[in-house]
Amino acid sequence: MISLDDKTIGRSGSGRSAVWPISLSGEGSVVAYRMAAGADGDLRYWVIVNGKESPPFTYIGRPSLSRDGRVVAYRASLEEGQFIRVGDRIEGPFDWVTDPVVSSDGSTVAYAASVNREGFLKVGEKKSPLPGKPDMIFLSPQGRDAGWVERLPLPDGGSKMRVVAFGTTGESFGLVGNPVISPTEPLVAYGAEDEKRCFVVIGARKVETPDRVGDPVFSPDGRRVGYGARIGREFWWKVLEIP
Amino acid sequence: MRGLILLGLLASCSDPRRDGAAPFQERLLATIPPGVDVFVPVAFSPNGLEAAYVAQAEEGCWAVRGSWKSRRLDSM
Repeated sequence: MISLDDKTIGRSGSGRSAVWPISLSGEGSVVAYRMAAGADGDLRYWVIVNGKESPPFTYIGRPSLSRDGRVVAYRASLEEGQFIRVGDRIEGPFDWVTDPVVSSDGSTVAYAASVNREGFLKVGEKKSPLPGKPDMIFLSPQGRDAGWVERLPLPDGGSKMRVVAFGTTGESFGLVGNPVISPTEPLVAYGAEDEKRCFVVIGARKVETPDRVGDPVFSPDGRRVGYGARIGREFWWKVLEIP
Repeated sequence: MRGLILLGLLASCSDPRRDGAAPFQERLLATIPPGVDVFVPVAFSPNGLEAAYVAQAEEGCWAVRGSWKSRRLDSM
């Protein structure tokens, strides 16, 4: 079953199973989750938003919600290609498309995609050429600015990840979490791991955070970055000041 | 019957409103009781006021968010 606090809002059954993870609006009032049914090669996915079910698709990515949950966007696949669905509206088909992101206020949806092998970044109605295929897109709270995480193949067959935003390419790491953009200035923060060391990166500053267990976020005034940490048997909220 | 519960609070813990507590300050959010294991991932509200996690002990498992605890379940 799927619960929001003590309230059961959905159940697996009739051959359908819930797909992890589920998505929750910032205010906690709207839940979007996926269900899947079928066997390998004939899977079908649905998204359920506050009890309303989407049509079936061959695959659905994790939904992205605005803070109030009124705007819900997700990547959906059919036999004829990949699409972006925003509410009941559909965009595509694309050769490939990343999971979309919705700005906090719901005014902007952004994603990277390719049509006829030409990659682009779409932020609201604005399209710009994009070399390569990013792993993920991220968006400022007001939807004005976007960045992406790209993967660099290594000669040994592995890969590194790095963050690109505001015309700057960041350092490469073994793993990069979900980047966030400051609400007040062109500054990006993200969690990163490399060779068993854990960091929070804020712009060009790298702070080692060995106990971090959550992605960093900016304070509403943009003056601090906070993140969750586990120290022994305690969970802490840790704060880094922005000079 | 194997029970499966997916808690919304663990998807992206929403901002709680808590009178008297200043958001976004360094603070201890929770202590894991003796004899209890924690499933990852742990979720934190973006204002830094609450942590949410799934706890497991011999008698079952349950979700915790701040001072709230879910009913006990066979599995999560």
